[in-house]
Amino acid sequence: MRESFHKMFWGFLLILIEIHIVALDILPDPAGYYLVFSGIVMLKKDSPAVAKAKYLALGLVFLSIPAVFIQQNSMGSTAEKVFDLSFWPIYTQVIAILKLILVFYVFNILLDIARRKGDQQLCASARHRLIAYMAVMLILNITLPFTMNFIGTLVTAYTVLFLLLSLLAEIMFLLLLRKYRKIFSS
Amino acid sequence: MKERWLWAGIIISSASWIGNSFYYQSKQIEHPIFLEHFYEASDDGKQYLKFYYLANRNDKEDVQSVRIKDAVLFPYSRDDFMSGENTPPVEQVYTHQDLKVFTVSLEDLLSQMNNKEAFSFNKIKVAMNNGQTFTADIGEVTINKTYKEGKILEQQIASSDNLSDIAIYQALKPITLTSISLPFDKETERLVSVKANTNQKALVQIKNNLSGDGPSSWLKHNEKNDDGFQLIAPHKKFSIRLKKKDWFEIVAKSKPNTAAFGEFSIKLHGTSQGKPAVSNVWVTLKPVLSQNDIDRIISKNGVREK
Repeated sequence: MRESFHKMFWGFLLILIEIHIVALDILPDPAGYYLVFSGIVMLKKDSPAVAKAKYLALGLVFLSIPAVFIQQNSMGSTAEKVFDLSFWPIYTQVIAILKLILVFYVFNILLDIARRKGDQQLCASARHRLIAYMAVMLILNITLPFTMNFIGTLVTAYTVLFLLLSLLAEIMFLLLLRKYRKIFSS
Repeated sequence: MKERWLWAGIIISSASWIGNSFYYQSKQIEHPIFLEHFYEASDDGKQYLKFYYLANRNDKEDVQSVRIKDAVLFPYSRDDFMSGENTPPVEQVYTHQDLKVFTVSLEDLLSQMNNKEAFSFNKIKVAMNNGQTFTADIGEVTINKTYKEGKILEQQIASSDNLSDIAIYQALKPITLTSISLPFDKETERLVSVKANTNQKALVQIKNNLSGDGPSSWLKHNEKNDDGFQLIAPHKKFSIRLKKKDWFEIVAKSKPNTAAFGEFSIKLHGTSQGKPAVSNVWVTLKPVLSQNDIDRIISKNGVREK
């Protein structure tokens, strides 16, 4: 089980960090999703969340291949410059939502494992982080599109604040995976 | 957390994304919209003509060059070491569009003209960097022959901001001013109102104060003594007699809700020692446009057809 969390941790870290050299992401997302997928496969298959997360991660291995060539955090504008494709922002948005669903299922797997182990503290920690993660990401996804049609320092400040919060939520999620790795290594 | 909350959030965020995207698309303009300009320039080529236009903020295409009569011109820049490589800079940011400025070097324009006579134009042919071209109405620009005027009024103090031009003159000879005229027919008359002040005591005081506190103090002084001014309208006769060394102040103010840029001269007509005399007062109009002004300009010029 330790190996499984180890893979998921590195997988999600790879997906989070984007280092673009010219147009290529040198930490490619498909590799990240593959690590997540192989991490999930190593878990016992008796939870419905495991099955859903597994197929979703596998799907994302292929779906995220074009993302190697674009910077997703620039809301598609760079991609438009490189590829001149107007569906690119739609693609980025779809990938972001699929990743959100995947994280939701992974959180549920983690909750399930903590419950089975009877570790109340770990269960509470996972539940709080799940709620915080989903709240930040959903509010961000709902409100960020409004920045297309509003400008001003307040809008910029709001965007920066929520992007920082979303980064914090991602880090909290990664730390939780590391915590699981530690607990289950013994 | 229940899965249905996740799905509800995703549905709302998709709706927000789709709704905002459609609204954003509906606000895009088909191609850059050039604003109105009323420029007078002399053919000595020292001036720069600044053409302001609105462009969608996220469009990759931008204005590459403009054709004015025989001349093809690229945006001029002070640090222009690679001609044609410049992109017009952004002056002001609005919700969906940027106000940009395409600067034309008059020297460059004149050097490419086959006919060196005075000329005017009100349309330019715009070439985008994607190859698209369109014709834009830009108001009106007149290039006049340089001539030396017999100086009767000598400018002593001048100040201008976005909304007004103020100048104080001293008469070099006795003169009687009887009328003013504005260029470009009625077009510039709807843009500016002109006031004159001949209150010698106040003007001398301004002149004296100037050496002490600098220009800002006399501008404030000006506003306080506004009752000394008289409105002078084009096509209306008046009579302002100035003795030699008399002071004369003229204020040209932008009328509200005007969105045109201007650099032109108001002509003061009169007689001096029995001969007709003309004096020029230079006016610069650079309106500060609100989002409402921009929306009005766009709705007049049309948005991108889907």
